[in-house]
Amino acid sequence: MFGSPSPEHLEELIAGYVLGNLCSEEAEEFKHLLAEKPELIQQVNQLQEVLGLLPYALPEIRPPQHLRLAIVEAVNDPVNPKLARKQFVLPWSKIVASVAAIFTLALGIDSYRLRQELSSAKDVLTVLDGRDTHLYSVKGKDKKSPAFGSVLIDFDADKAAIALNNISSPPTGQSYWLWAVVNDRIIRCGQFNVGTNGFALDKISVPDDAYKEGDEISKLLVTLESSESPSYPSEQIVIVSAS
Amino acid sequence: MVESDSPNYQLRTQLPQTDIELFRALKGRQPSALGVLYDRYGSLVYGLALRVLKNSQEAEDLTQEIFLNLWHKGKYDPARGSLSSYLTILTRSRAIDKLRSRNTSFKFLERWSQFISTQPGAHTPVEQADLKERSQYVRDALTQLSQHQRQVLEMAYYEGLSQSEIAKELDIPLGTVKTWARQGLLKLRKTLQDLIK
Repeated sequence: MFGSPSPEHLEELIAGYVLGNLCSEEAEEFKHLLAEKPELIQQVNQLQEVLGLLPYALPEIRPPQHLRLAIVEAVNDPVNPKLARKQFVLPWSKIVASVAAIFTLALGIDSYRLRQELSSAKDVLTVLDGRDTHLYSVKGKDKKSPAFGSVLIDFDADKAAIALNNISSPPTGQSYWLWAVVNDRIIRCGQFNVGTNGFALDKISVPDDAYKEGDEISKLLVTLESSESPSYPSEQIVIVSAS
Repeated sequence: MVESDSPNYQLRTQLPQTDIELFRALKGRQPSALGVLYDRYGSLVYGLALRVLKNSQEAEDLTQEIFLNLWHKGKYDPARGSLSSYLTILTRSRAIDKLRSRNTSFKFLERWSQFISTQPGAHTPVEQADLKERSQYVRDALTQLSQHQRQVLEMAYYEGLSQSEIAKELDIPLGTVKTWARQGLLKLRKTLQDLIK
């Protein structure tokens, strides 16, 4: 049995509890005290608040400006992410067919060229021959933009392919980058190239640790970047996932 | 004050200014509320993440994770304490978690962060003071601790070390570490009384 502790000892026990440094005897004693005097919780909470004030003493370091932009951009999309998600697991043949449809639109009736491009598409798409391949529709961010296309991502193989139509070549010194919003993070998928004829078809190696099991992509972005290795998307968003 | 000259004037007149009101606006899916909360607490969250993780890229990632979590999940319960406290608890907890995942031998204090008040509380003065004022207040309070008290508290808080790990690292008895940490925390409570009542 535990006697009634002195105020000093009680304070020590509460502090020890908050700091997680009670020995087993003290822990047992505090457990009994808490059961007898539930109001002690208030003092526990108070000390927790005190501990939580410690970071205020750190030197003020302003986060980089692009961080604010990335956060605001991630929530500024008025489309409900759940509704916006265009995620279908498709059989391989349908994936190829959907990309072929893009090229058909891009190339009209030029069947020879279409066959060439389809051959190229198949080459790109072989990297996605996995069981967990997902297709996303994307379009120009600007309403007037004629750009549209598809992004295919193989979560198992950490690979992606992008096919875009009506997209102009990037200005000199800039390049296009694909980004994914996964849960609460923005993931840099990779850079891709654009052809001279207004459409892009390229494969991208997604970083190994970019996706975990159960992750869901709520949004895709394509940005124009001046940096050779951007950490966060710039404000120049040109393509977004279609709603 | 010539508020009309400020580019934020319109924003300030339209948005509620207390944390609670901003949080409600955020729950009402007003992105501008998140922007204001970020301006208010972004540097606190980032600074804490950077102090624990010692890596600017990871600190950026975690800061983003914390604010997007607030937006998407909004698990903060105003009845349980201040928003700034919620943000620092969440940031510290996740940062320590990331540290632990870097090195699984790390043990860390998590009791305090798991245990969140169940008492409906009025909003503390800490919420009303601005960041600089609070920072100065807490810095002053820390200067009143002995060097040892401050050191063990900071090692436990920022590095997630257990008391026995601290004892080992500083090569002092475990009992001494416990005493320093407890006395340091109690002294801080006394000094910071006005901020937590």
